[in-house]
Amino acid sequence: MNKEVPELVKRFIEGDQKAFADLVTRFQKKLYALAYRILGNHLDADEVVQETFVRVYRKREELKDVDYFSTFLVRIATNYAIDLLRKRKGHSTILEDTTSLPGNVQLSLSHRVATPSETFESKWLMEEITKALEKLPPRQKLTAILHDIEGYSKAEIAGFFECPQATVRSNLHIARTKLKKILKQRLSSKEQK
Amino acid sequence: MTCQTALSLLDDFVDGELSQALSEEVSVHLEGCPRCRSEARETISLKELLRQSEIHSPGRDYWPETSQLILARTVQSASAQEPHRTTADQLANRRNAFARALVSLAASLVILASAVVIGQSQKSTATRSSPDNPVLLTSSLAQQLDPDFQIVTQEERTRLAKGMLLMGPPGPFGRISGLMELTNLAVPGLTEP
Repeated sequence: MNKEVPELVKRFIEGDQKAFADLVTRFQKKLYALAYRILGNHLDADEVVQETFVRVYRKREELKDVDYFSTFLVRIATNYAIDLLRKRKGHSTILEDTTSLPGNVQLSLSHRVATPSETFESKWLMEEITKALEKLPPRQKLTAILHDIEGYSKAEIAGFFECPQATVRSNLHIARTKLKKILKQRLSSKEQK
Repeated sequence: MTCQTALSLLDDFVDGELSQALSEEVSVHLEGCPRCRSEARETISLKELLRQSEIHSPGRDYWPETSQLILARTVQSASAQEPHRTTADQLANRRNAFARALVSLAASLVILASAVVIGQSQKSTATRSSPDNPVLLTSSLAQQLDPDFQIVTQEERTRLAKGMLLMGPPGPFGRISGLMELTNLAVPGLTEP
């Protein structure tokens, strides 16, 4: 597990199956978090995680020409997530009661145990943000998630979507403007604090 | 710097992606413009709010289970197919198929060679009839071509008559006359004048 990603990828291309298993273990949480934010439910996020790694395995020959494995991975995941979003267009996403999932653990893995009121507040905030994001078209939604939540740069996002950075910049600006309107109340209460 | 320019640079300013010189220019504008400052604050609050949204993990057991599922769909399914291809049975089948193909080919060649040899021999003996080069017929063929040659002999006719007699037609008189013919007995009153 301590091996560097490029070394693992090199071995994976050469046919080392253990290297592929290490890559899955290393990237699955990140991928799940991204997919969950995009799709808003566990089942779809799980599908994206599995399908992404299956596709990466099948396309391993293409990795020879890829500079960054994570970029390749996220590109496949976001494209698949967009497909799922389009398929589910018209069917509103059911927001899961995440506290009911087995072994509920926050991904940030904070050592401090949240108080019940904090957990409740966090759940409400998550629902509010998910609902707000759902009102955006897929590309704007993904750009906001990838940039403002996942912390990818505009250049990286342009790489995922294979589009100019100007398009990413424009999508992000529109997404932020819409989100500010939708979350106006929440934002003003936050500023007052 | 105008408000329009400042607002167009606001996203990059908040994301820390402006050059130092431009960033300072925007800062100066924001200090003197409450409207643009408010817009900048809202963008910063939105980014903070989005980052606060934590998603919930499906539980600790989910990760190893998902890894196993992914490996089962990729590495294990691929390696499960590999030994299949190299089993002793499959190798034996391949060899048998090869042997069968060789035997078929040899048989076809023998038939073809025989046909060629027979064809060549017939071609060498067969000749066209001409006054200079008459065709010599076999004795049985020459006999059949003779106009006086009778296929059915007298003896054969008698045998046929016996058969007719036994079979029934041409009636009771026919039978009697046939019988007489056979036994060479003369029936009084029935003999021809």
